[in-house]
Parts: sequence; structure tokens; C-alpha cells
Amino acid sequence: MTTVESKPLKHQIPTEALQILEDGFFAYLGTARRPCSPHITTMFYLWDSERMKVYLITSENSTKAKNVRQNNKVSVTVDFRDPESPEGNRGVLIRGRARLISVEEMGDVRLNMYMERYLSFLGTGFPMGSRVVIEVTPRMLNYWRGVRFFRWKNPDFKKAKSTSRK
Amino acid sequence: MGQIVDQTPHKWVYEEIVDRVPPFRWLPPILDVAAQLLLVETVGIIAFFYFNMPVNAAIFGSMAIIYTVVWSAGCLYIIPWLRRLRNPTHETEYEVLAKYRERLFDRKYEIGGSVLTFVGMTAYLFIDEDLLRLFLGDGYGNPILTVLILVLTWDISYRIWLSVLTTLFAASRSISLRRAARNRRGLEYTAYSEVRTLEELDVINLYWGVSAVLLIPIAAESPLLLLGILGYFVAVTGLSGLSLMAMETIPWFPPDVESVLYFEKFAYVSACDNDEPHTTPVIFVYDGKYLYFAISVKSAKYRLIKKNRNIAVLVDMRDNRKVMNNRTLLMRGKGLILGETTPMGVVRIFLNGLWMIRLWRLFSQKYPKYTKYYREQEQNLPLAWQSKPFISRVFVRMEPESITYWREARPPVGLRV
Repeated sequence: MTTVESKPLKHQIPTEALQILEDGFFAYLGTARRPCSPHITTMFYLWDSERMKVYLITSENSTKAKNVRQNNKVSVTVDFRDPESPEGNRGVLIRGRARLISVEEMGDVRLNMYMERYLSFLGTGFPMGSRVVIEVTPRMLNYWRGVRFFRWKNPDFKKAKSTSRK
Repeated sequence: MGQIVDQTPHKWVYEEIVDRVPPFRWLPPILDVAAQLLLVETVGIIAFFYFNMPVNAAIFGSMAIIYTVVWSAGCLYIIPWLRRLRNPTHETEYEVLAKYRERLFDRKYEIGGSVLTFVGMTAYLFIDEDLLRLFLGDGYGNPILTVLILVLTWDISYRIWLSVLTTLFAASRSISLRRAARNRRGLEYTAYSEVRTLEELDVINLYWGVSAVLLIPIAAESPLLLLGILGYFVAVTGLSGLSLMAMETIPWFPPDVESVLYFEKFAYVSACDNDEPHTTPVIFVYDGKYLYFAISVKSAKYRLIKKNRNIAVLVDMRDNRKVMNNRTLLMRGKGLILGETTPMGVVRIFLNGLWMIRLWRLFSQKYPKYTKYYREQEQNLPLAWQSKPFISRVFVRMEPESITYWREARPPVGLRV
């Protein structure tokens, strides 16, 4: 629920926004098949605040993985919604570039954090074999609270990273 | 389930002729119609000159011929649609459609009724001589001309009868289907494309009914015929209208999915920005047919959807205590913006006007505090968010091209659109 009364681009992400990424449970991953056909799914995720990246684990053969292979532009949305009033809504939309990496590349530390968070929901025998990790590097971050809206641009994001194969 | 099954054992006589008799069998449908017009009109013109018929005959005769050709065009248009009908997953609805198809192509209804209509019309023409004398002038009584008149009369009778028949069957089918849809359970449904196909058939029935105005000038000379044509016109247009209304109110999502759409408060919409997806939560309503979400004209989503109509909408219903108990619906397709003040937007408002008022009501019923909040905070809100319909807030109707439904960890179900 955003307006475009947009504040000037901030160089630091507001702590409230970072808190949302820490506290959130589900992320909504948006991928798109060219030419511009979007797809959304609900996913578990991990926000690595040191490296400023999002990690999501999915199956190699899923539509999202296929979409990412073809088009690395993705969006990740984490939010808290209030069904009663728009004042209680707050959330973060990260737009960036994804790359597929193996579970090993994600590294033990991160994997453990992910597992710890979601262990009770993953069930026994979490199949690692066919899994792949989507690592998202943010290019822009939108944060909203109620009807207020902020935008942050990643100063470390290099434009060359975009691999839009047209 | 739901494969295309051509269970139609018959074709209409007209169809058989088009398929088998040269030159029609060699021509594509559009040329079939043109060929028919050319052939019959040529015969008519030759007769006109040879028998020295009054001018009236030429005009009214041509109109009658045009009526038959207009009918034929409609017929050739809908035949492929009928063949394409796929089966509903709900048994009762399936039975309604199967029965409809069977009756529609049942020869005894088709021919029996046409013959009766033909006999009736012919009897009338020969009993009440005045009408024929008026049109044929000197040619009255000539055997060749009599045969031509009989052929034209048959053509008209067949078509009038068949349109009455199809309209009657259509109305009956629509009402039964709607009643059956009320009893759906779980994932039973009739795909929207089927509903749309059936609505197309109803539109053709309407078109056939309206084209009867071409016969009014001829019938005007005789009160009885005029009454007949007007009666036909009213019956066919009335019944097709009824049928269309019944079809419009058939929900096309199965009940399991509908419950998600009614109860869940938020949806996530992803629009595309230069191949980059832009995903945000929205409030939405479901009106029994489509999902509508509201956006501000100043928002990024509005700009994106205007530029590229491809969107995805995710409605994810989860139990807060057991988050893995979910029912999720993902729709991908196009967004149609309603409520803009652009020229095209105004046309759409005009066409959808009453519907949009209903949407506003649905929104304020589902989100009373949101609506109240916007109204109260109106002064403090940025211009884009003020609660002015048609100016700063628009609706987007989701027109799905693919629908997937997940329930917990079970494999996803694709719903046919």
C-alpha cells in the first residue's frame, strides 16, 4: 500500500526496515519470465544483514528457478499486514538480481541460520539433493509504513551485474 | 479429466450441405456465405426479369435472402465453438451440457419442427393468395416461380425454427447449469472458457433473433405474418437475454477456491517493470466472478500495469497457528484497469458502471476500517490517496490466463481457464 509521496533516496536503510527483514517469516518472491510475465510464490528466506543479501532455497526444477535462469531480475517482499487499518501495514520490497548457487556455496553458517529458523516446519528428511539457492543482491529497496514510503538505493550495486539476455 | 471430447453425433442439415455439396464444400466458411448470397440472389434477379415481377418483389425478396445468409453466417461461426466445448468436472453440470448437446443436434427436433413451420407458412401463402399476388405480379401461378418461392420459404422456415429451438435449449441449459453450480463441492467447477463459449452461443441466438427485422417489410403486408415475426423476435431475444443473464451469474471458481477469495484479506500483486517484477500487497474483493484490487493512480503499480498488462496475483491463506496449513491461489494473466478518466476508461465506466458501484460497496464491506480511515484522514492524506472515486483510485480486474491452486503440501492443481 504505497504512495508516491517519495522521500529522497536514503543512503542508509531505516532500522525499521531492517527489523522487518529480521522478523519476517515468509517472503514473497517475484520472478518473471521474458517477455515480462510475472510469477509469485511464498517462501522461507534468510536475510544476511552483513552481506546485504537474501537467500531462498527452492527446488532445481521449480518455475522460479527456471525463471531466474532465464531472467535474473527478481523482487522479494516481506511485510506485516493489518487487516483492520492501513496504519498498521509495514513492509519491505527488495528489487534486485538473483543468481542460483548450490547449497554448499551458501555456506554452513547461513544454512544453519535458515534451518534453525524454519526447522519445525521443514519436517524430517529435508531433501538437499535437488535444492538450489537463490541469492538476491538488492538494487533498490522500498519500505512502507502505513501510507508513508521510503526508497533506498544500493550504492554498492554495479549496473554491470544485470544479465538481461534479450 | 476435461479433455476435448467431440461427443456430437450429428450435424445440422445446413452443416451437412456445406460440408458435402459443391461448391460449398471446397470453400472456407466466409466464402460459403458469400457463395450462398451470390447464387440465390442471381437466381432471384433472373426470376425478377424473366417474370416481370414488381419492384417490391425484388426488394423484399432480397431482404429475405439476406436474412437467410445472415443466419448462415452466424451458424458457421458457432459450429466450431460447439465442437470445442469441454466437460465440466462437476457431474451434474456435465450432465446438463451433455443433454444440451444431444438435444441441439437431434434430427427429429431439427427437421420435425422445420417441416411443421414450412408447412404452416406454405399453407398460409396459398390460402391467403393476396400476399403472393402482390409480390409476384404476373408471375403468379407459374410453376417454376412457385418452386423458387417454396425453396425460399423452406430456407426461412428452417432458420426460424432452428433459432427458436436453439434459444429454448440454451435457456433451459443455462438455468439448469446455474442451479447445478449451487451444489458444487470441493474442486468441482466449469471452466470459464466453457461458460464463455456458451455465452457466445447465446449471443448468436440473440443475433438471429434481431436479424428477423429483415423479414418485417414482407410480413408487414399481412397482419398474421407480422404478428408471427414480431412474436418470434420477442421470444428469441427475450430468451437469449435470459440465458445470458443466467450464465453471467455462474461462479467459475470451485468452492474451495472461492472460500479463499472471500475470506483472505490480502493478495500480492506482481507487475512487470522492464522485466523486473514489482511485488506488493493489495486489498482486493471477489465478486463471485473476478478478483478486483484497488490501486492509486499515483502508484508505481498503476504506471506499470498501464505499460504492461501482464500481472500475477497470489492469494495465500494460512492458519496463524499452523502456518503450513495453507491454501494458495496463484493467478497469472492480464490486469484490466477500471475507473480511469481517460477516454477509453470512461467508455469502460459506462459499460461497467453499475458493477463498479457494487465494487465500492464490496470494498467497504470487506474493509470497513480501511474505507473509514481513508475518509477520515482525507485531509491529511496525500492527494493520491483521498477517497475520491474515479479520480485517484482505480480498480484492476484480474483476467486470468492460468490458475494454480495449492493445498498444503499436496501437488498443485491447475484450473482450466
